[in-house]
Amino acid sequence: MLGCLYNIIIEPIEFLFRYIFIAIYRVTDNSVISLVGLSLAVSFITLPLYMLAEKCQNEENAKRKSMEKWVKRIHETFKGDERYYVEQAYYKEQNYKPIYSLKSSASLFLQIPFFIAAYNYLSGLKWVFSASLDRADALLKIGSISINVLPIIMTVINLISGIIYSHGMKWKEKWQIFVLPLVFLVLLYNSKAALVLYWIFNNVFSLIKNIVIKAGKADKVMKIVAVFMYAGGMILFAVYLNSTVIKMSAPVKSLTFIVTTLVALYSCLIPAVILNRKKNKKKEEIKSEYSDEKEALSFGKIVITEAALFVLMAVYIPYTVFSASPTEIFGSNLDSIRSVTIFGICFFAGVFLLWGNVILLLSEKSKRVIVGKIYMIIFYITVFDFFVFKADLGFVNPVFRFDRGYNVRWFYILLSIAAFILCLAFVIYMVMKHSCLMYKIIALLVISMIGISAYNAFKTVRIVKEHGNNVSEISSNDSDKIFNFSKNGKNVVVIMLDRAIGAYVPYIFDEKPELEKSYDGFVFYPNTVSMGGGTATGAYELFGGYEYTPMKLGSDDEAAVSKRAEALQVMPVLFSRNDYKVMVSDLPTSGMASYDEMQMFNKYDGIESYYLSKKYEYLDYDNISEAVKTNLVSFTLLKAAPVFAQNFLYDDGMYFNSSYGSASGTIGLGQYYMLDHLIDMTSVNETENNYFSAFENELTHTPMELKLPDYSWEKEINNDDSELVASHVTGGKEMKMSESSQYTHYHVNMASLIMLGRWFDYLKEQGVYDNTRIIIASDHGYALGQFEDFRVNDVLDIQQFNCLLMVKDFNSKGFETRNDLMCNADTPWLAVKDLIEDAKNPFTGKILSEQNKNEEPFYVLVSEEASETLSGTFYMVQDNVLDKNNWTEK
Amino acid sequence: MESSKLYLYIDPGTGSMLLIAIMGILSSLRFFLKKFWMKIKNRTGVLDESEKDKKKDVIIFSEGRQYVDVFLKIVRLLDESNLTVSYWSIDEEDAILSEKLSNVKTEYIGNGNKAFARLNSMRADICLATTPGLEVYQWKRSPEVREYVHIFHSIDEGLAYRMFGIDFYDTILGVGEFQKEYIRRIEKLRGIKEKKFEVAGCTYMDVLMEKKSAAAKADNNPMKTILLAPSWGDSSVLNKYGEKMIEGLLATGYHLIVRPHPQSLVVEKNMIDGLVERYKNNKQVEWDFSKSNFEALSKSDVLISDFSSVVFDFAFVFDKPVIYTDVTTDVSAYDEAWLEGETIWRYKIVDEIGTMVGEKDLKNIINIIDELTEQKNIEERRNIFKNQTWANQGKAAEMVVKYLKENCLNEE
Repeated sequence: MLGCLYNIIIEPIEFLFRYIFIAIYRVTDNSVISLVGLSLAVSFITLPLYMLAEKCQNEENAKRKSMEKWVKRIHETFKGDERYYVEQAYYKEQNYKPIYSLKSSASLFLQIPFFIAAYNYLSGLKWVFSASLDRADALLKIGSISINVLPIIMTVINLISGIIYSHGMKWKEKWQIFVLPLVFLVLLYNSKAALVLYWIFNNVFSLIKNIVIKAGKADKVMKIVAVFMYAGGMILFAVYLNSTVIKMSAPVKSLTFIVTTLVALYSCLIPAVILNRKKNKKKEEIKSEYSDEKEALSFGKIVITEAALFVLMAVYIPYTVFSASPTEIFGSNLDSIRSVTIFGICFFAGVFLLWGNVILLLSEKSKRVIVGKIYMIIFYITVFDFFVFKADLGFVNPVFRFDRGYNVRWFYILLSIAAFILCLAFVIYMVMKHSCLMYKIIALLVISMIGISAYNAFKTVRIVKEHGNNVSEISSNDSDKIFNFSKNGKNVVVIMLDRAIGAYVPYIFDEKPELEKSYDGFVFYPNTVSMGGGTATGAYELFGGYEYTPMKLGSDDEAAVSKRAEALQVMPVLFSRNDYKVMVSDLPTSGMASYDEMQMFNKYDGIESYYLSKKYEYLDYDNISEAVKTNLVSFTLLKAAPVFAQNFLYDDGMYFNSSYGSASGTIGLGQYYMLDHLIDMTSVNETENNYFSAFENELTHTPMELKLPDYSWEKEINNDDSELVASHVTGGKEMKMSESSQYTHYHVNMASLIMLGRWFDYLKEQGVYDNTRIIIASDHGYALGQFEDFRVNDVLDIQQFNCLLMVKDFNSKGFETRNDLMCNADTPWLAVKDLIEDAKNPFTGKILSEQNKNEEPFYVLVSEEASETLSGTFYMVQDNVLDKNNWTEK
Repeated sequence: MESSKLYLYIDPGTGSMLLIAIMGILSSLRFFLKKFWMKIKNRTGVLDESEKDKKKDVIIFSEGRQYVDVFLKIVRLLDESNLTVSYWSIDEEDAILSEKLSNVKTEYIGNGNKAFARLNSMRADICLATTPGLEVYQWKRSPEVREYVHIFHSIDEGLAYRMFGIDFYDTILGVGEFQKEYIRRIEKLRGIKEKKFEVAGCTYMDVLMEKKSAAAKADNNPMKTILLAPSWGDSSVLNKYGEKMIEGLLATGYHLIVRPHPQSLVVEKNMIDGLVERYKNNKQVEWDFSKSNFEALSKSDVLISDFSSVVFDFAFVFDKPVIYTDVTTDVSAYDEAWLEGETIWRYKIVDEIGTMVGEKDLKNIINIIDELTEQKNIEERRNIFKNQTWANQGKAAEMVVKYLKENCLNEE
């Protein structure tokens, strides 16, 4: 219930703030500028409310002041009930009701949701702020005591603002203005610096606001600021449009940049002209007020229009999408449908029925008709966007990302701008001239939309229910046990942990010494390099060996794509041909079209292929519906928006979440659950068969904060901040953890190794550990700047190429660290060693071998993108890859 | 969300406004609770539909027997008119209730909350009353009454009621033109709408006058009689001077009638009882507790009072001199307070119709009385003021009824 209220009242505002903050952040890539922008926007949005409150309060104060003398006399003269009677009679005579004081409070209290929204949004915001902003600033250090300077600056500004605001007030009214900042100082003293910073900006604007209001120039300044804000917004949009939306050749791009910027700047004249004309028109307006009244949209009609927008956005659009692919979005979970639907309804009820009416009621009476007409125009434009001029965007996944990404050709975007302008002009004309007709159409549309939505809702629920029945049938089969281990034969397991960082291992084992027991028989190779910095460049050598290094793979063309697909098949096919039963799951993609890549193994009889993480992606429905909820609203807005604005709203699939990670917690969770359920999927067989299994897991690629100290996933995590960011020291070497990207990567690495260790323990119990060879490798590391001596130069951080490699051979014991120079391309060779004689790549016929590391250096591509294989910079490295002196640019 | 966090994003301007707002809410909440409590306190059973009265042209509301002189003549005149009229009283022993009337319906409406319930849902075109405090105390304007008309039961500037006493009336039927200025000034000070003001006269003084003319001159007492008729409250003569005053008056050797204010018998009963006890054996002192002051007034040669309106009755009807005692009355609870200490009409005319005495004059009181009662030109001056003050002498009831007839919209 309380959650619903939050979703109705505050969520829409928080949503707006999120869009403002992230939009600025995306363009500037600077969290402080984004804070300034957000603060400015919040100040500006709440300004009309503030002014209204100020006006009401002044009136109220004046009234009270005028009555003060006699109220005081009445209080002195009369006693008991009579005092009440006489006082009330006096108020009545003066047309004053004590309840009027609430009138001025109302607009003031309306601001509170804005404050809560800003506070909540910024408190919950992750990934964006650097570590120094993510905690109390502690800028000043005196001896062992550190003092947070920002809250003190904030208080000083506050006090100055208070002095200006309270100018000419009595001390009795003044004191609270000075006590309040001190209270805030105490409350906010230990808050994270970003919050305090935001608060400081807010106060600076409030200071300016107070100065402007005291100077009596509020009107003029407000107009100028409005024009500037509009200009800023338009330029921001133009920059964004040019940088991301339109993919075209350079000259066309610069031309459109100039054009859109000019259009944006010229369009600034619109508010300037409107604001200026207002004054001259005022007299006319008063005259036309009456004629307006005649054909006026009644309050009821405006509410119907709001309701139409509500039905369209909260139910119609979502259920059109849901009913097209119910199971893809909801799996078999009915609860998820319910909670998502309720969220959408609450949210849009908040937007249209609550805040829509607040805007209506706060506008001057004469302008309410205009507000109503604007709602009408928005409705028709939305209908036009959703039904008429729309883009074909293909399928969406459960968190509303398009399978192909947002891909619309630029001329279509230009076309959509033209169509939008035409439609807007037509709708404005119709609404202005024939508002009655347009209203009737809306009323009709509402009814039909409700009908169709109901049909779609039933359809969705029915399909999801049926799917639920099917799923429970399937899961009752024992088909889940896909990891097969032979008790008497040999087992080989290759595990790729995407982006796992080799340098973490000593710290992980230092923190959890008990892991050594689990990893009995493993050799850890710290001195391991990956020749690619991303999956597209580093994963194929892991599966295919030295024939598939970035240098050899070449560019991002079709030949390279099929070469990559080939790399993934090298080990499975080789083992399969040598009488191993082969299972592969979740291998990296080769860059082929969007269909399930694992299908390429269907042509081999002895190879079974799965997509495990996808299965587990749906395991935590609570969480998935969380992501569906927030993204649903964004997605609905996208669908309701004109095509040219859609890519902006799509935000590369992030929908204005601060990071991919937080928006797609589900993706990471699927990976987490996959590792967590390895034991359930394991089957131990009393046979002489040999088994080969290979799988990839991406938990290490989805940094997230986990619950300390056991690094488990929980919905609400309350780790001690200082513990979180404390740097780790092992063997005298410091690993920095101050930034969230740093410790979250460490968390998922740790969690992955812990969960794998648990699996290994199980294998030991089942007696299939000693006859199993296990290779854990990663395709690449990640440049997180955690190790001082890894930084070769501005572009090269060894951490990005220091991939993970741990190998456990048959019957080996103990946990050992060897400093041999290794490469993840050694994996195929390590896997087949001593098992398959003269093992050859089944596609090229070349023998799988170790590189002659003493003679030939590794050529490392300093880029994550496969497309940069030709243009990117290569570095050579030899001997000890962890020594930055050994890296030289080729 | 912790409540403390709520304030984190509020700047000082907004913050202090919020605080003020919260205080405002609290105080209005308090006011509301009080209002609610008052409602409960004044609550009476919901009226039956059958109890609801048929809408009348005029309803006269009287507080009871002490105002019989104010209303009786009006009621009799209305009885002969074709207006539908009710007379409501909250005094069972109101003489008008037993008056034989053909047209006017008289009714005892109970008292206390029961009476207020009736009054507050009264259905009439015009309501005529002397009661001040309409809409201030429990007596509220009924939405089904178009016009509330006030007439006076004493002579003053219209400032002698407790605060806001007549502000919620629509119309004032005044005693004389002099009241208008004061009423308008108060309206202006309070910034409220001007009430309708018409001069009607003074009904009860007309009655007193008639009674006086009718009564035989039975003044066979050769000894001078002093009437001590104080008002009540802290600043009244008896409270202020008490025995000292009585002793001083007894020293003159004249006969003394003490007539305490009826309200004194309620509010200051102990003080009065004490005095009665003290002088119970003194033949020179006569205590008058009768309902009507007519007898006492007609018997006396001189009246001593504070600013009780009885001085005007005595001066204007009986044409005898008046002595005011110099008491500084606390007027802060009265409409008069709004004029902030200005010397208003009733203090201005003191010298015209009598004289003022202070504590030190008590020793000399016999001379003052003798001088006053024997002074000749005082009668002339008195008459000038009487005529300036008291309009339509002898015709007030007719004027009132005329007004009612002319202004009643309720045509059937």
